[in-house]
Amino acid sequence: MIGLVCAIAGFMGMVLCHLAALRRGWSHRHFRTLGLLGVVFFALSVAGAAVWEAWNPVVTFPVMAVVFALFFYGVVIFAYFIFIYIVDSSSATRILIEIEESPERQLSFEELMRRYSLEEKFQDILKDLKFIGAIEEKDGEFRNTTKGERHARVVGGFRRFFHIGGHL
Amino acid sequence: MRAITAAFIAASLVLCLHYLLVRTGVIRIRYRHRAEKYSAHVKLLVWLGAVALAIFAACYANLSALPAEAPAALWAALVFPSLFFVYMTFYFGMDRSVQERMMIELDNSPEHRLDFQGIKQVYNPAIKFKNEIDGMVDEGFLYLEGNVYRMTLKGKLYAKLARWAKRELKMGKGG
Repeated sequence: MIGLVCAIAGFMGMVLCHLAALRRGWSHRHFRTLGLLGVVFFALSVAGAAVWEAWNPVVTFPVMAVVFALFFYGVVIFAYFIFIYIVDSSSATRILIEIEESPERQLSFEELMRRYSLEEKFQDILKDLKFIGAIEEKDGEFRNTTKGERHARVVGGFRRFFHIGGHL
Repeated sequence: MRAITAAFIAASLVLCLHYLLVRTGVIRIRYRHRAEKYSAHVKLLVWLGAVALAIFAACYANLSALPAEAPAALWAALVFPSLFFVYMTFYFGMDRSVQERMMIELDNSPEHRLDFQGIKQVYNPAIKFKNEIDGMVDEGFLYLEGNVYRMTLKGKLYAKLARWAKRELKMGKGG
């Protein structure tokens, strides 16, 4: 019970600090900021749980233990899928593999552009978006469906508010 | 401790089964484009995940030798990274997703529609490519030597892991 409370409180603290750093422009290297906050709040959560338990132990209800164990179970499977997705779809991964497979393991910008066409990726992504019903194609033109439009506005609003996105 | 151990065993089983079924070709992921490929993997994982819930229940009921209570620090060490991972995935989707960018560009265009040439004008593939490579240099995956890009040790290790996973899970070139 104590561990769950500390983990959730630590997580909420981390999210608040991260969003504040984005909104106020304190974060310039977003990945490092998130990683650093994650490490700090993880250490605080674990240390807090250990100290609190030593001071005043509280029993975890069996039903809560099962619920959070199942949450952990779901996240492990989700993380495995995200690994598959990133390894397969990420442009950065493909660029590294192109360099790895080149005879001298080095490529210029122009050689990379020749080996890996982002135009094809864009075409594939438009097919993906059509498949999930986010856009539709008519007479060679693409437009958002209601679902895509709602999604674009929510994400666009989030990006503008927190000054993120748009660079990739 | 019982619930955590049962979850760990069931999750390991799902991952191993997915790997073995795809690796050996017992389950063939057929697709015409990327979204179908990922949808097939998700369906397989959901199906295996649902089946393995029975393993979770059986383990939970039978691991009576383990104490029911786990140390609070262990719970915090498992639950915080799980929440962090979900948030990180959400954040990176918001920040970097090409899909989101395309929908936003369509929404921002004057008539809310664009042909492929129009998409390329507002979302230039060459600029995205350059920004992607600059980001990889900044994050320590690549370095520039003269006019060619070479991999750092971190980049080499990640490239080897990615190639292995793509080969084992028959994922094609991707990207």
